[in-house]
Amino acid sequence: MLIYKEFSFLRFNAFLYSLAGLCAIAVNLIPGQPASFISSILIITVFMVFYCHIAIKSVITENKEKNDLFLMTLPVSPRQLFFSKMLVNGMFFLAVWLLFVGAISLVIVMNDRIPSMVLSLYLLIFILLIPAYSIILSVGMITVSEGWAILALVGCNVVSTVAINMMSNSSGVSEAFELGTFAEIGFIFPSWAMTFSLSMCTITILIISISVVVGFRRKYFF
Amino acid sequence: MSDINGAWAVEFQGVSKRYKHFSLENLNFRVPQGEILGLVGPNGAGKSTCLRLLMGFVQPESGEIKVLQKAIPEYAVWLKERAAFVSEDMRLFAEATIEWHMDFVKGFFSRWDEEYAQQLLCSFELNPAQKIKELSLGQRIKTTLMLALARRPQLLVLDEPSTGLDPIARFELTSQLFDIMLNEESSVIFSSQFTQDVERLSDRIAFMDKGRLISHQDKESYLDKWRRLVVVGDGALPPMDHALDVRPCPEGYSLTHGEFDGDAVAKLGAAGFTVAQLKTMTLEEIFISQVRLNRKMGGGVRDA
Repeated sequence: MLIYKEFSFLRFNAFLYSLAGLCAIAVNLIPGQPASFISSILIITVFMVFYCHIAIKSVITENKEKNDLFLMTLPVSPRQLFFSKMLVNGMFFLAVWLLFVGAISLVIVMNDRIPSMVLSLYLLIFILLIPAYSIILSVGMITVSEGWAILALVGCNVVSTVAINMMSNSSGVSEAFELGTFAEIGFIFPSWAMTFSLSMCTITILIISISVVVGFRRKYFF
Repeated sequence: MSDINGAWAVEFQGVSKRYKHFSLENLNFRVPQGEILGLVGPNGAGKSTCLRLLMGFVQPESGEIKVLQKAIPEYAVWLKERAAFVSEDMRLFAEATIEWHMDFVKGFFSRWDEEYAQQLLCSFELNPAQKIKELSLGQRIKTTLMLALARRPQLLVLDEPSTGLDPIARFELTSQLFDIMLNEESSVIFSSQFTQDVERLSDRIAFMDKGRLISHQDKESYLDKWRRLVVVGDGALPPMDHALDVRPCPEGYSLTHGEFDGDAVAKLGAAGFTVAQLKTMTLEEIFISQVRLNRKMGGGVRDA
């Protein structure tokens, strides 16, 4: 029932952001570089706003609106409450992540104008956003504090934006835009892509592990 | 419900909980199964903390809590299947409808009584299709009560349910609660700063002040023992442990007595005084006097 509750409250947001994301991806179909540029900004912005919104809604809004006292009266333990939120929030994140990545891949693979490197760059950016989301959700879940959650949110978004900018201008990326489309050259990755992806996976696993440990140790509501 | 008949619904033994600026000290009380206990105290007396300890939301620093014969907070989840808690500061999900809440809560309780829930919806005049954010404060409290009562709990814990309501809404709510409680076999623990509500609803009353339980007796004992009186006689009034507000008046002395019975009359008679006027007191007057008497006597607990 807790999963049903989380699902009921997050599905509308997930649907709206998915729709907005798909529209942003569709902008890529308009010929010309400005359209691709605008699309990339919209896609990343929509996705970042989406995960910040669901993390804050699930964790902080309930606490702020005192819904948690109502949930405490139900025959559930603090652990069950903790893990149901993490699980459903994570599932929605994963579903929308897969939808965005799938739709972007499809558009780029089918398109004979967009350079193949754009696909790689999108994939690396979306990999970067996984630990960013994990940090925001975990900080919110562990502290149940609006202040700490907002600090984590702002911090993660600033770091992500700087990292995205650095990735786009890094060696192996900027020059690779001229190499050709997916149909011409297939997948291409910068040399650091594997190390980067493994690092992001390690950070994510570490953050989730810390949250799981904290969740298991949570015995009392107050 | 039959498995716990005749037992204590709630037992607190030496329970303490300390916060930075407030502490609950050495709480001892028991509530028999099927009775209604009214917990009265000013703001910050520790009523909510006491009820949260009872429900297992908070861990006590010391002491033992047993509710429906199970140790709390160890059996908190077990208890919540059998006990319902309604608090004034509890909020339902603003964007969801009453019907959504009913479906949600129903999923947790095998004892959920749909027919009774519908009956409560009618008597509380609630529209299940309405969103929580569209309800008045009174309707929101009634919705939380409906969600609690339809679980058919063995123990109902109400933490200041009528706070924030206007006098008419408060009267209506307590009247409806009174009707429900008359027909229920559940035990009820009910906290309030409104002594009129407690007087209407409770079998037993516990007074709290500054984190301590200062008195715990059945309602009739309070109303029987507390009197405001005028005594006539010569000389000085003998010292009395349970007397407050002793003032000379044209007839003799006026005073408030917290243990007024035959012994008190005999003691006054032995000192040459007779009772000229005797007035009963309201629970509010008794509560105020009890708090002052307790402070005067140094803070012991009176239990009957």
